[in-house]
Amino acid sequence: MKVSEWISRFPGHIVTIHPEDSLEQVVDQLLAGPCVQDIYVVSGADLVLGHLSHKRLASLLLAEHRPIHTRRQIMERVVLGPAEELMEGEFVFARPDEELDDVLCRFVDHDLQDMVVLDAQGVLAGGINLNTVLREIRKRPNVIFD
Amino acid sequence: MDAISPITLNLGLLLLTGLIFGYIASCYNLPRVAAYVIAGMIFSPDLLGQLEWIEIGDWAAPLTTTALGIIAYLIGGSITLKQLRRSGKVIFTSAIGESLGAVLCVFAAFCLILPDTYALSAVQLALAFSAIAATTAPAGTIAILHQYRARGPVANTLLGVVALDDAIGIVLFSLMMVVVVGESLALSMGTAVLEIGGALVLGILVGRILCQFGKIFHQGGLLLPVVLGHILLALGLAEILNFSPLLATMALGFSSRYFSRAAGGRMFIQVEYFEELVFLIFFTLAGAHFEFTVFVGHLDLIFVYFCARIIGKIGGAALGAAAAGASQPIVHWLGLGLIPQAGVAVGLALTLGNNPVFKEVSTMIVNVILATTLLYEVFGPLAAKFALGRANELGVERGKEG
Repeated sequence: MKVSEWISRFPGHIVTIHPEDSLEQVVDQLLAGPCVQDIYVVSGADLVLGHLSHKRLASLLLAEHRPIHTRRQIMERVVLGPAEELMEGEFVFARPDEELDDVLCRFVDHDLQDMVVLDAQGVLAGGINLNTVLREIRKRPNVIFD
Repeated sequence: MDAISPITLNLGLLLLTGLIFGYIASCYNLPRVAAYVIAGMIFSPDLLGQLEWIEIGDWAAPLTTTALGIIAYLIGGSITLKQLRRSGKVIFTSAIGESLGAVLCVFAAFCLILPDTYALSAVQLALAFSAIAATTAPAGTIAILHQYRARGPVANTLLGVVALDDAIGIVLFSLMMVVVVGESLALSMGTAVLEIGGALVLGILVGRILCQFGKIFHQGGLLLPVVLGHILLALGLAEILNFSPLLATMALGFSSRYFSRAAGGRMFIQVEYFEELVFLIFFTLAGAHFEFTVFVGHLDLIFVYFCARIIGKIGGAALGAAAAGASQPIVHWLGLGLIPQAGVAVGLALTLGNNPVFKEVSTMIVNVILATTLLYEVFGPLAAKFALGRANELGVERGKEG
């Protein structure tokens, strides 16, 4: 099954934020939905710029509760920037024309819950949710990837 | 015995002894740094160093250079241009003030007290000690902020300054090396421009290449060798071209983060795990250089360095903060939080010994810096706690709530 077919059958919801959003705004978005683990920074033209994980946001918000900091973490704590400075610009994604079978290992390798699907221009085309995939595998172990 | 390399054996023994001592110290809430040093002391010439197969010799030089290169890379990558702009004038001028204050005070004090009986002139030695004085160890300060839940403008400025001043320290150290090693001041100025400028250009160029490689080898397992390879490349090229290796790797860290933009952070995450290993190597090696007679013979230098650096830090931080119009609590109390000095200073002292100019005095320098580091590790956190208390920024101590 192609990724494009999967996202038309199971349209996943990708939580997006603006590049200039503050940490607090991003965390509010994270907590607004149930079990959101991945947030994507998207420009006005739906161009996906970067990824923020639940763990990264939690570590930023709880920085003062950490007894040991690297120098990089100290500066992040002192001058906390907007989402575009906190995000990871090199992130994992899928293309609509890829086989779903080839994409799934990325969830495990990169500890993702929601993976974005980007078209050739880097514009958001949809998302794949890991739980939906797992549910389908449990229901029909041999058929969904044919 | 011949089949066993004494280098790997000695290094293995040093690291494992340091780890075990560090673990025991942490069980009793004692500073791990001191435990590492004591572990190293066991291998010093006065103790196990007398054994034939214990030899902390020339093999340590490339190790300390590489280890300090890794730390310089991390220091360079710890801040971005945007963060520097946003951090504000107070943090910037305070960091400059306290670094230069410590350097000037130690330089002046050592010029006054150093006799001309060493292989180097008093001014050259004073320059060497003063260049090490600028650095500050963030770990002790962070531990106090965490333990007492400190919050407020002094705590925040303190964090910004401790993150910045090691970078200033490395620039000052690199300048000092050019001046001391140079044949004359006029020649030194020309050489300084070449060595410093060359190191910066080299670091930026290698940083650009690292950024490109980082995009190709973006998976975690491959990124670490890519980054380490570029650090070694920058160090090696800098040594061959007679540029400052520390500045080159610091520029590499800064530029690779700049060129990688939003993906810059991942260039550092895995290398940051090396920091504790690097400091373990520094402290155990420095401990192995401990010589009781040298230590006792230079108690006066230890005392003067200890006091002059503190005076410089407090005075310089106050002047720097006042120049930027900081509030009174910051002007009054910031400097007292900047006393700890540890790994970077010891690493700089060890690398001095790798230069032939400092060969004769390197044991003395390492012993003085080692002794003062242990003193600063004890008094530094106490001073930081006192300063934050006077600034009314201490919260409820962890573990003593309710």
